[in-house]
Amino acid sequence: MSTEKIQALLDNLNKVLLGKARVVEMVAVALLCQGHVLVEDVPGLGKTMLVKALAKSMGSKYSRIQFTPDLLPSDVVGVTVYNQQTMEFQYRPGPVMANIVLADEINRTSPKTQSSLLEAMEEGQVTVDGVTRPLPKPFMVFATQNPIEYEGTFPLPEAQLDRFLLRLEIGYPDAATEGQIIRTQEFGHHPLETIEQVITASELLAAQEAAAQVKLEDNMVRYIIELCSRTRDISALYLGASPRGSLGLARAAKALAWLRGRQYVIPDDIKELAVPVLAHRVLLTPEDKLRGVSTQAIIAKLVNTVPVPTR
Amino acid sequence: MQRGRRLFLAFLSWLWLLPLIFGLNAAMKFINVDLLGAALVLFLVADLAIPRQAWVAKVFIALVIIHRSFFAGSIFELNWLNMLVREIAADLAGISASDMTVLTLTSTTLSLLGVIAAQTVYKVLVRRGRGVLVLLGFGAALLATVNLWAGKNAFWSVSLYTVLGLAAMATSRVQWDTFFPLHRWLSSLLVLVALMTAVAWALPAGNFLEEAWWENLLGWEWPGPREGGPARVGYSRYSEASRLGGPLREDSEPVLFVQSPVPVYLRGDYRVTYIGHSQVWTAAQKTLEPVPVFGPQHLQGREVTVTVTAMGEHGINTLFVPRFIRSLQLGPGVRYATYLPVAVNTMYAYMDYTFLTASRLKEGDTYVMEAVLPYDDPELLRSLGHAQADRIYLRLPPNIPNRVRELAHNITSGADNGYDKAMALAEALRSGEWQYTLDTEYPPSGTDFVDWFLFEQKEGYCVHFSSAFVVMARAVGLPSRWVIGYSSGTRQDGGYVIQNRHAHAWAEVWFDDYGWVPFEATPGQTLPRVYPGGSPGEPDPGEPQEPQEPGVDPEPDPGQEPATPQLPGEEEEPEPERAVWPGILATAGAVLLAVLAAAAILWHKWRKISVAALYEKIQRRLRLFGWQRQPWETPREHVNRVEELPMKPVFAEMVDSLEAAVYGGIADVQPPAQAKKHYSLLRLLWHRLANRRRR
Repeated sequence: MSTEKIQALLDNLNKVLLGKARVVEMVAVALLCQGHVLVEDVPGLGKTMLVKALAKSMGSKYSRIQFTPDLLPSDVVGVTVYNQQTMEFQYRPGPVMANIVLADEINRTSPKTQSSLLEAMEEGQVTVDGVTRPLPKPFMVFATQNPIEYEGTFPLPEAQLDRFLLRLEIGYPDAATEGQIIRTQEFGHHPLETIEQVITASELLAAQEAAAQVKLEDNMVRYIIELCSRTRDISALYLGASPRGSLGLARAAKALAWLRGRQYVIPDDIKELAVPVLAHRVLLTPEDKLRGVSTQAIIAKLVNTVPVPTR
Repeated sequence: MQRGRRLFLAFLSWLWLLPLIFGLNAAMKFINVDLLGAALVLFLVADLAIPRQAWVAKVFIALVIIHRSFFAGSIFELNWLNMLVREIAADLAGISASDMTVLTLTSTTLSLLGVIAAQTVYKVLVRRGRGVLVLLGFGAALLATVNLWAGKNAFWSVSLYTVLGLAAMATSRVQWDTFFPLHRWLSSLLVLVALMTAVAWALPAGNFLEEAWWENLLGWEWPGPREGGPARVGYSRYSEASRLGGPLREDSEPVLFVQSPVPVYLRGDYRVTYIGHSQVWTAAQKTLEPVPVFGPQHLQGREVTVTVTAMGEHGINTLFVPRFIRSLQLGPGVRYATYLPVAVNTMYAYMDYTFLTASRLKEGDTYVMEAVLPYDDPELLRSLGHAQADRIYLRLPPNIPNRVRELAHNITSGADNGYDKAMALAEALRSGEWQYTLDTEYPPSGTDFVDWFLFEQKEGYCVHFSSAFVVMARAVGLPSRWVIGYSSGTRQDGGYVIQNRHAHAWAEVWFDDYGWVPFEATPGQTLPRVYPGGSPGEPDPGEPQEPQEPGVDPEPDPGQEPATPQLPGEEEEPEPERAVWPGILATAGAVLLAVLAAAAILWHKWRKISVAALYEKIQRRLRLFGWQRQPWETPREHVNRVEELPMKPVFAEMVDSLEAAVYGGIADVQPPAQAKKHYSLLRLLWHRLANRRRR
């Protein structure tokens, strides 16, 4: 399995999300690992477009859930209703029954609704009224949350945060890119319209399989463990990274290595992924939170202290 | 971290200053090289032992060295410090009075302090990483200027100095904390020293490189079997540093053949500064006398031509000459070691120079002189004073015992002029009260040499008698100096054969407008003199003749063999060969080391090295320049970060293969072929220097 198809997918995404090749690459990493992505950024940066383009490139089903405080779990996973004609309870699938789910402003809804996503994300299935139904494959959740509006939000519980493989920040485009964005949409056309399917579900599954075959030497395993266990000793952190964190780091590193045409993981892969994979899995102590320290900064600093094995 | 750094800095400051100091010294002769070498080694030890306040220790070491060299008595009687300061002050004040000469005491003290200052400044500059270039440029310019001024070839000293300086600069920002460990430095240093020593031993005795700087450091001759007992008389293996005044043994190796119508004393060198222990006299102070000091009207004498031919296998490197010469012509193959700043055809200029040859004379080498043998009219000399002579000819160490001065005054109490005083002293010394013997003992430590001879031992040989003469003459105000050379030798084949046992020491006293007049203070020796109209070579009636000790033959005729006393039982054994075994062993050792080194280099070059090992090795080298990978950096991050890294594409290629080997688990990855070549220490050093220049 070569990376051609995935590269075509990346090209598509780059057409839509201009100047954010790194974010696009991270999205592909998550896709290859069957992981979910939490995008934490201000509105209007192209999150939805990115997800739409992804769905369109894969020719798969896409749905969007706008999380609001009054959203109920059944609005997410679906509901069984009584069909009077057939005299049966019938399952009406919720928006989660899709390949790509965009969960917009996930921290606006109640924890109860948030947790309805948990099972879907972790286990790839939903249970409605005692009946467990599998989700389509591939299945990927893109959740977004808005960092600036704290009022009226329910911060995601740690357990749920841990289930996202990556947390990404898109960030503002630079001036030149912003100009380019205006130009490409000047006549009312969106580049999304030109996007065609480049990869099938089975091809994606094969790519995921290939990425998992990438070699991870013992020294790299040690390096990952060292990185994660160090997060547990940092005084500014109330909670360090879980083993799920090191597992995610290993999987993501393999995917990134494969994406870059390598059959083995090098420390650069791990270093590059440490912040997106680990930063949302650790908790700051209240004092440091008040001081304005970010977990990203702490993880970024951490990777520049852990010795890289070279033998 | 600190030990390696300390050692390296100390070693560099020591090594770097060597060519500078030896270069300057070669041109100016301001300090005894042995003494300086000892001081530098002790300074190195001080640098290592007390790195922070090393200069305090160094000043102390310098003071001890000065005390040991120039003063008798205890170092704790601090009076000598007072004397030292006064002498130096007087001496420096005298410089402005135009004669431009300083005492060895002054030059030694100032040079040692200068070395301490230079080392301290150097270390500070290196630590700051700046200003080393200034020091380098300044030193090189100084070295070149002084050597050019002295008419010497400064090429080697300047280039060595510059190369070492550049090395110092290149490593001045070495990352010391990750520098390779102390034991590695020490072991490589030891190997280097062993190698140099072996090479120096294995070198043939003749010096083929004129005035090479390392000769003084390493070019010694094997001293021969130690168990041989007393040292031998003679100059052919005479060493400046050897202790004088101990037991001697005769050595009949012929040295020179002198063709001359009359017997002459041949002067080799003279000494000015009396120190009274170990060497007794320190190396000559080449003081220029006021020129012209006397006119030809005073030089009524017989003109003769003297031809000297070298004999024997252990050549000398001094041209021994009669008292006054008008010209000096060197035969083929003989060259001066030093440039003569005064026109060589000026007769007066010759009187005070010591002629050193570039290499030791070989058998058959000749030189021809036109000499004047002055009449030395006693009546004329009695009328002359001693005011013109330099003060240094009157200097005595501060701690000469008073009884020596008293004895001198007692002996000369009946004389009212300088000549009579000198004659009285010579006469007294030859009177028989002091016995001539070669079987003497060294004076106990802390005892003045002359005092020991005059009052305790009461026997000795020419060194004792002539030194006693000079000390007593100075004590009564006669400017005088100590002369070493050869007595007139054995008549043979129409000339005089001079053997090592004819090595002799006598004294000269200054007479205003006349010059230096020799006096013989050793019993059994007679100074040949000439008289207007008289037969040449007749003994001077003014010279005391009567005192001959029993068992020593008087010298009835200067044409015959001078009576150098033979000790009973002493045989004239053939000269033992220069010890061969150490040379062979050393040569073998050097060859072995060279072979091992070559094998190591080849092995290093051809062996297959794993890419990880090569990478680590190169990292160690990069560390010297601060270009190494930080522990938390990935190899790629390192390549991208370090801008100064030479040949980046090659390095990046090596990183790729390193990743494949280390992270990919691919077993037989070979590093790129050029990596080994491009990241040799020399290339890196050069790259660093070139870069620095560009910046």
